Amino acid sequence: MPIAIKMAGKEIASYDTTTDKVAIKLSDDVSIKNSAGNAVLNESGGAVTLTADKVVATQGLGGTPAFNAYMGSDQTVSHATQTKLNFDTEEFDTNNNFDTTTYRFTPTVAGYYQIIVSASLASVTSTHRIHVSLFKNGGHYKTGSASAPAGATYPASIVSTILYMDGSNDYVEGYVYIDIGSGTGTIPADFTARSQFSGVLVRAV
Amino acid sequence: MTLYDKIIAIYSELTSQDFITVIRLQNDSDGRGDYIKEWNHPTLPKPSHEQLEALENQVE
Repeated sequence: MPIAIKMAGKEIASYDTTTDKVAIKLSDDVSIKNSAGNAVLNESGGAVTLTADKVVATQGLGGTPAFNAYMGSDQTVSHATQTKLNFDTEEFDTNNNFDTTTYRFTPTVAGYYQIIVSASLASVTSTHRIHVSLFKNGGHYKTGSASAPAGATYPASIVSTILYMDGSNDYVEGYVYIDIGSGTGTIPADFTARSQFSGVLVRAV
Repeated sequence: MTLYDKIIAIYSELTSQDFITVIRLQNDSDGRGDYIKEWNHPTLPKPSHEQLEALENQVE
């Protein structure tokens, strides 16, 4: 989807979120100058002249928050109890916005984020359910659920959504709720297949 | 013995559905353990700390 970049009400460039390409519009006499004030790209009468002796392409999305975290060890959770998932290990965290002690993602860039939380339950002997929830600012936001018969191996639940975050105070966390009759269950640590928490900025505002 | 198990020991008539609709137990993984986040049961009063503590002592 193209996003127009305007200056003084006039579109000077666009960014296509699908192809991740930036296009600069040179419909009028335009020059792009370097930091020394020298024109490095000129357009006049439909002709484009590149005057720089070296062109370095820069992507204008530096600092885009993206993270993926997982559990470094198994977590024991109680039946019928909404429990925060202990995502204490990072695979990557491009903007240092994920806290591995509170298991919380607090992005510092305002915009729309795709957030995914998944978790699985070690097999139990009775029919059981697992619900994974995304909490925003301490309150329930979205839930995914799954149920499985007795003896099922690692039933998993996932929740994926896009939500707005203000870049200062808003934060998200992953919670799990298991229904196994009574007692406790185990959320196994295995980031390659089972329990992980990830997110990325898809559109800044 | 989990908090859920203690509550069921006090009120055996509660169902799994009650713990989705009118009672909410939570654990924020902050060292405080399981706690009663919400108790909106229409007839049964929220168990007291003393009732729950007594069950803990029974187990020990």
